[in-house]
Amino acid sequence: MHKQIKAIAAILMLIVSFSFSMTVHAESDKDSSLPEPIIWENSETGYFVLLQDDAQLLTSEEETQLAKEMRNITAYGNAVLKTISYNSYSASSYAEDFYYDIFGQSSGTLFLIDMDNRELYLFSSEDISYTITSSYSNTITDNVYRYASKEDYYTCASKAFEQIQTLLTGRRIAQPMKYICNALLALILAALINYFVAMRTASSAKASSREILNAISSQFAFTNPQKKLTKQNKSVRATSSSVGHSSGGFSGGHSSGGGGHSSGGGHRF
Amino acid sequence: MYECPNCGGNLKFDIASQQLKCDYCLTLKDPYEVTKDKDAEESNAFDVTVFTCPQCGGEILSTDTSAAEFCSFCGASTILDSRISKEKRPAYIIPFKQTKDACKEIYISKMKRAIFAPDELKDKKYIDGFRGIYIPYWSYTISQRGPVHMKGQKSYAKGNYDYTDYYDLSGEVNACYNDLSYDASSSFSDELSEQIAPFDVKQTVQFTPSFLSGFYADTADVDSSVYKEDALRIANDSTRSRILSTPAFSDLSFSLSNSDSDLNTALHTHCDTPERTMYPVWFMSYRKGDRVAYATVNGQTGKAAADIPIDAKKYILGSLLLALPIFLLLNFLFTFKPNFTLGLSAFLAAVTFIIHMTEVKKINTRDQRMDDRGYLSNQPKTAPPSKREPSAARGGFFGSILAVIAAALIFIINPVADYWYYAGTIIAFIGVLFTIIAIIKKYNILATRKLPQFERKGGDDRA
Repeated sequence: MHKQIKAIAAILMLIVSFSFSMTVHAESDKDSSLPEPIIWENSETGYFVLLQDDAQLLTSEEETQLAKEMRNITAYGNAVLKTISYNSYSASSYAEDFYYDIFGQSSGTLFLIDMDNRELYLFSSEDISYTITSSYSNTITDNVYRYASKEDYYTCASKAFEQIQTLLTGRRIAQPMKYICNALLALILAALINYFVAMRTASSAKASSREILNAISSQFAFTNPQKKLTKQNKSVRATSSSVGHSSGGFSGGHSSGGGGHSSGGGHRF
Repeated sequence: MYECPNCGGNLKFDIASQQLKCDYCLTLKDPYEVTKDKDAEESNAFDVTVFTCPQCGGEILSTDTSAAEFCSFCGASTILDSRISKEKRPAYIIPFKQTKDACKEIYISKMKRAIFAPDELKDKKYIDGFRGIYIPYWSYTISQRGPVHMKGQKSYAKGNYDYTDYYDLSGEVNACYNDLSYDASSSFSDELSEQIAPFDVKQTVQFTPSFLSGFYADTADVDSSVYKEDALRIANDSTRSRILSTPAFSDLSFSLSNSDSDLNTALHTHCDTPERTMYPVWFMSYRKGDRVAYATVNGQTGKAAADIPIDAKKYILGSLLLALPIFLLLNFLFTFKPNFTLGLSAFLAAVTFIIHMTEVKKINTRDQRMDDRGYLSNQPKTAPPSKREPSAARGGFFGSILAVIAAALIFIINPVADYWYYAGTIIAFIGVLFTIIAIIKKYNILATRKLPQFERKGGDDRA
């Protein structure tokens, strides 16, 4: 009973913070008739599934199905799918702000479909971000962007969360982008490095002047060194007070975001 | 030929014993005790057989009259024309200290590091082609004796004042640099000569022609004035830096003229009459088409220098093999996005273009032997050599330029799909590879030389 009260309280809190977040973002979204979000809590871990299709890219069946698929991720952190049709910021800023506004420094991952910037962005925070690193975020969004380009947003999001789940359970995902890029770069770098190696191994250094002088017999003497003062110039030294010198304390404009760990990566579509 | 007093066989200089040794009865003789009749005459000249290559005109000397069948300069296998002549007698010689076997080992060890060298250069048959040649050198002795005057100054602070004291400095210099040596043969490139330098001239001995028995010698055809300024400069620079570090003047900052002529006057630099000397070099040539590569080993110290071309097939195979660990390392460290990869590829293409341009400059200089003053001093004063690139050197930069242009276009279009960036990177790779292969061709030009044409009797440009 006590557990149930706790869960209801958590959901209420989430709805309150979500509503607050919506009022912040509603202005930018320019759309007051936003669909209801799907919220589900994993009672064992306390993590949530949050799915809000503001850009109305998914059917309600697809939303329900996706929310089910996202539940597995709540074993590790919150799982969020957000679609937007208007965004005056970058996709990465929006994703980060949105997640922190709702969940704060809590483990979780957010998949954003930004129709305004035509960009997919995967943001992860805290524990999950150690597994879903920025590199993996880039890889996952690269793996699924083609579905978004074909306007198959359900498959796009479904595949993205599937790959997140795969990584969180310690398995591997395909990384064609990484391997293609690295293979091409490796070939170019190898060709250049090999050229310098060939040059280095083929060349012989010329003898230096020192080596030449060491190989000959030579003698050197400089005797009777004399120095005679002929002139002296004297001038008043400029003191430190006369020099335009300003000192000021360091005022670093450093702000800390709480020291949390996060990662992110995206792809246009 | 020097006859053995015991059996009449041919006495040749034996490196191990540093004496003349009979091939047949193994008798050893002191080189100074064995002379031909004409050698014994007080003369500035000695008798030699001059072998002239009918193809390149290169001349090589021997105290032996048996036919020479290989030209060291152009690599031609042909019977060399011979004639008896008199050569100016050098004052000193450094006899060979490194045996041919030692020389071969040194060369093999050098070639082991040259992993992209053509296999022919490592072929035992080819390596057996090392030939002992005495290269003529000019030996300059520079002396500097007399009073030296300089200006000096010292700056310091005392109380609220800055002081600068000015001094007249003087002293007596007494310096001497013996046997600064420069090769006196136009057929032996300055570059190779500088690479196998220095010879330990403290081991020079008085010349006698019997030292040449069993070896060849190159002709001295470069005037002694050609390298005189180089010798003066080395002496002046050394003396100048040693005066500047004199303890009595250590608290001063002072200057001594930097110009060569002013330094000659300030330091009383004097060059004695240059002496003719002969230094030992193991020499081998490798001819491929219309190019020739040389390998040389200092016959005294064993320092090796060689023209080492790059085998394009080995290079490509090596690059593919090297790409594998680089690929694994990149996978371990980075996940690049396609647009970044394209940008980096374009940057590397631009680097390749710069390398290409730098190489072309070097090729022109070396191909025209513009850096070989010994060679240039012997050329007729005709029109300046063409600066046009050798045919193999032209056009190679198009690959890298195309790669950069393709990348720039893709970035301007800014497509969404990855394959555009992959295609751009592949174009960049092909472009870079095309340019690098062109650079290798250029490098091979740089690592080999045009067949020499010595403007001597017997040279045939059409050969």
